[in-house]
Parts: sequence; structure tokens; C-alpha cells
Amino acid sequence: MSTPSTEPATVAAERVRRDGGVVARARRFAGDRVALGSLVILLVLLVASGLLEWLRPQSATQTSADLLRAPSFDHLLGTDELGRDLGLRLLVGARSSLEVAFGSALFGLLIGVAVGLVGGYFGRWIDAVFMRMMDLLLAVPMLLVALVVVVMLGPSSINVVVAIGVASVPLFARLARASVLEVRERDYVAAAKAMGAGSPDVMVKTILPNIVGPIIVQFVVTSASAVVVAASLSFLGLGVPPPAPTWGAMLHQAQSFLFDNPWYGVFPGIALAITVLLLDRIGKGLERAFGTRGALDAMAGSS
Amino acid sequence: MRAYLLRRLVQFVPVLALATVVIWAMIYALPGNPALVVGGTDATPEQLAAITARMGLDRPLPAQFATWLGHAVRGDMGSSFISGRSVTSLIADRLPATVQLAVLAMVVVILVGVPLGMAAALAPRSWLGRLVNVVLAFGLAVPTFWLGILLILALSIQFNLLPAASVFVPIWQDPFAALQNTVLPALALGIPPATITARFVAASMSDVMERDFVRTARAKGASERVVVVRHALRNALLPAVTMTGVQLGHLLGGAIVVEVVFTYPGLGRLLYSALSSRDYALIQGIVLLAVLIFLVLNMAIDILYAYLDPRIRMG
Repeated sequence: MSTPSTEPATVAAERVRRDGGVVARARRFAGDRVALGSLVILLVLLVASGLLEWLRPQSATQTSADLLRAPSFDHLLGTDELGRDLGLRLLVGARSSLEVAFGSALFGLLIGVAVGLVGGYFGRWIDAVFMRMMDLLLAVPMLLVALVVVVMLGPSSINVVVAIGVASVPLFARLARASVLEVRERDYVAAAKAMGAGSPDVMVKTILPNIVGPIIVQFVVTSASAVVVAASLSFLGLGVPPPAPTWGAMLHQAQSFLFDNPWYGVFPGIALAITVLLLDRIGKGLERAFGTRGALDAMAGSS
Repeated sequence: MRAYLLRRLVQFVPVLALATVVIWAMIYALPGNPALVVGGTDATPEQLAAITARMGLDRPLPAQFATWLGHAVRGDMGSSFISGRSVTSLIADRLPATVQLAVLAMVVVILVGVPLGMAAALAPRSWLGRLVNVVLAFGLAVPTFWLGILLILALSIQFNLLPAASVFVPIWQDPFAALQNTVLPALALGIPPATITARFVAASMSDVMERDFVRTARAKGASERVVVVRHALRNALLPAVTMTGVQLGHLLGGAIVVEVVFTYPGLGRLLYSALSSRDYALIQGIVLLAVLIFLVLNMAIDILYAYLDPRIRMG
């Protein structure tokens, strides 16, 4: 696993200067039209969603007499069973959807990276205990882990974030651990130790900066899966509680009215699929920019 | 191989032990007194005391765990406090429905995934290949429950071909009715993982097509069809189909939502109703069974991999 670097320090430094650097990476990411476009669309959606809630806070809950209408000029994407505008509800739902997704990926990142760093750095029994816990979380589908955690904590926005976060911890832990094992024996870590740096110092200041790339990629990939898991939880009635409009809960409601307004069952799903695709493209772009091979197809097990 | 088997088994036992502790502890992690959870909020103090004594809640925790585990090993997971029936019999009633759904969904995964992957690998620049690539890109982004709703909209409501709500008919009792009821949920459950299988088939197929033995077969004058079917496909399928095994686990996870969409009476829907009514003994039973299945499945796949690829055994 651990391969001591034989690269002379000057060559290594030159390599870092050439393709490291935030600016160089940002430029490489911006060169990827699809990834950049996806990021822009996602940001526009987020801003629009935030503005709508700020300027017209009632727009997602405002009922009307037009029940279950098909798309028209009055209601671009039609209305639901209480006459609420589907388009506006979807847009407001975008913010809560992404909040939960990023929140839970951040939770997974913080806990997972800590677990991976500590386990990988110290090895021995700490590592063994941590990794068996991660094995368990990894063997069970994300949705089932999240379901169990939500049932234990009770449904609320924060608990949904924690539940999906817990399910995504092992993805980060494994990544951080593998990276630590790879760099642990490198010369610069040995040098830091020789200069008297303590364990926390070596982990946070010397090792962590070197594994930032793959962790950021994993963060975006995990958010994409989290969008789907959050929607599944809402669909099962265990997600972010109403009246907040969530795409999963909308699809659950829509099931009772598929004969009256088929569009009701179509649009929230399109919103979901587009969000996941955008995040996936951004992840792919970051992966290329950082030159890391992330586990994009970890998506496979999300739903 | 024996050393690897042993090592993998030694890894399996602590993970399973950890799982049982977590699932047992579920009921204690809930806010409030577990006796209150079981008895309900309108239980009298006398009833609560009786429940506490019956559940052994006044005994030390390790002793409580040992009793619970002892019962669980013998297949006694307690009884549902909604219906009063034993958890084991409730699960046994629903298990065949989920098995039938999962098997049919695996058939969908293979029947859809392999041809799509082959098309993407053999004709990447044709319109078919391009179309397949678009489908594969979307495959990851479409959640199973939405796919289920779309299938209901298209096949049940528009064309009235298949029932929107499924009942369980065992396939050996009435194959036609069984298929009619299970095909829609199986499609919803099988298509998203099929796109992943297709990616693996495509990758391994394009890899194999570059190999020397394919060139040799062509040089011998074999027709393209014979080269693809007899020589390339066989070698390309092995890794891809093994990969499909990994997806069986994820597929079972998706069954929770798909069974709810189609009101299909399997384990997933049993779990859903148990979750909605906070029927903890039943939740514990189903989750324990599910975790056991996932862990055994993972181990079986690891061992299969090691058997097929000796390099893994050394790792």
C-alpha cells in the first residue's frame, strides 16, 4: 500500500507548481464547458429559489381554486390537489433539496475524514475497529441506513441531514484512509515528524492538504446520491416534514392523482433527475481538474 | 484460497456482531422509556411495570442483550405490537413476494443491460450507440420510485396494459397472472441497475475486442457475428455478470420504495408500514434480516472474486 516516494524534492516541488495551485485547477475546470455550464445552472437555480422565497414567501403554499390543472400560462407547470402552483413549489423545493444534500455530504465529510485520518495514521486496533464499523455501513444500502437513523432520531430537517450524513460517512472514511496510507511514508511527512511535529499537526497540516482534491470530488458525488436518498425518504413520509415542499413528498402525493393530472407525477421527477445530472457533471469536471479518479459510480447504490 | 476464506470469515464475524448490537440498541436509543414505546402512551403504571418485567428491562444491559440475541438466533424476534403476530411469521409471509420480485428484476438487469452495453461497445459512433450513451447517462439520475410512477403513467393509465397496483401471485401457481403483476415493479427496480451493468459490459467488451485472440479469430476468417458471440462475448461477460451480483444488494434496497409505489406486498412494504406505525419489534426483525442478507451477499461476492482472480487472495 505505502509506496515511499523516490522523487527528488525539487522535481516534486516543480510538479506541484505546474499542475497544483487553485488557479490552475479552476482554469482546468472552467475549460470543461459541460461542467462549468452545470455549475452555473445549479447556482442560478439556487439563487432563483432563494429569491422567490425571500420576495414571495407564500408562493409555495398559496392555494387557489384551480385544482390539478395541466400546464397553462397561469400555472406554467400546472397545479396540485390544493391548487398550489407546481412550478413555484418545485423551485422552492430545489433549495431544501440541495440544502439537505450538501448538509449531509458535509456531515459525512467531517466525520468520515476524521475517522479515516485517525484510523489510517495510527493503524492497529483503532483502524481495525473503525474499518469494521465502516464495513457495516457500506454493506447496507444508504437508504436503509438513513431510514433506521431517522426512525431512531425522529423526522426533522436536521435529523434527515444527520441520517443521510451517517450513511455517507464510510465513503469519505475509506477515501481519507487510503490517501493517508499512501502519503504516510512519504519524505515530507517524515521530515515534518523529524522536525518535531506532533500527530495532530502531521495529520491536519501535512497530510490533509494533500488529499483535498479527491475529498472535494467525493463531496459532490455524495451530494448527488444524497439528493436521491433525501427524495426517497420524503417519498416514504420520513423526510423533511411538511409544509416545506420536497420533491419526494410531491411525488408521493401525485400518486393519488395520476388520472387527474399526469404532469403532477412527471415534473418533480424531472427536477430530481436534472439536479442529479448537474451534480454528476460538476463532479466529473472536478475529477478531471484534480486529476483524481473518484468513485463516481458509487452512485450505483444510492436508491 | 483456504487462507483467504478464513481471513474473510474472521472479518465477517465482528461486523455481524456489531450489526446485532446496533439493531438491538435501536429501541434503547429512542427517546423515553422502551416500556412506554411498547405499551403506548396510554398504558397504566401497572401495565408499564408488567411490560418492564416481561421485557427484562430491570436487568443489566449485557444480560438483556444476551437474552435478545439468544431468542433471535432461534428465530424468535418477538411479536408485532400492532397485530400481535410473531415477527418471524410476518416476515415469512412476505419473503416469497420479495424474492420473486428480486429474481425478475435481476432478469431485467441482464436482458436490458447486456444488449445495451454491447450496442454501446460495438457501435459507439452509430445513432444506436449514441442513443444508448444518453440512456446510460440518465440511468443514474432517475430514482427508482419516479421510474415506477412513469411506468404506471405510460403502461397502466395511458394504455391500460398492466395493473398499477400489484398483488402477489406465486409464479408456480399462475405464471401469467404472476408476470402480469410483477413485471412493472421488476422493470422499475431493474432498469436503473441495468444501466450500470451496461456500462460494465461496454467497458469489458471494448477491452476484449482489442485482444489478440479476437484478432486471431478474425484472421482465421470467422464472421463478425461468430467473433462477437463465440469469442468476445463469453470473455467479456464474466466480469460484468460478477459485477451484477454486487448490484443485487442495492436492488434489494430499492425494493423498499418500489414496493410502496406499486403497493406490492413484499418485505419492503412490510418495513414501510412498520416504520409508519413505529412497530419496533417488526422493524428490528426486518432490518436484522436485511443486514444479514447484505453481509452474506458481500462476503459471497468477495469470495467469488477471489476464486476467479487469484491476485485478490494475495492482497
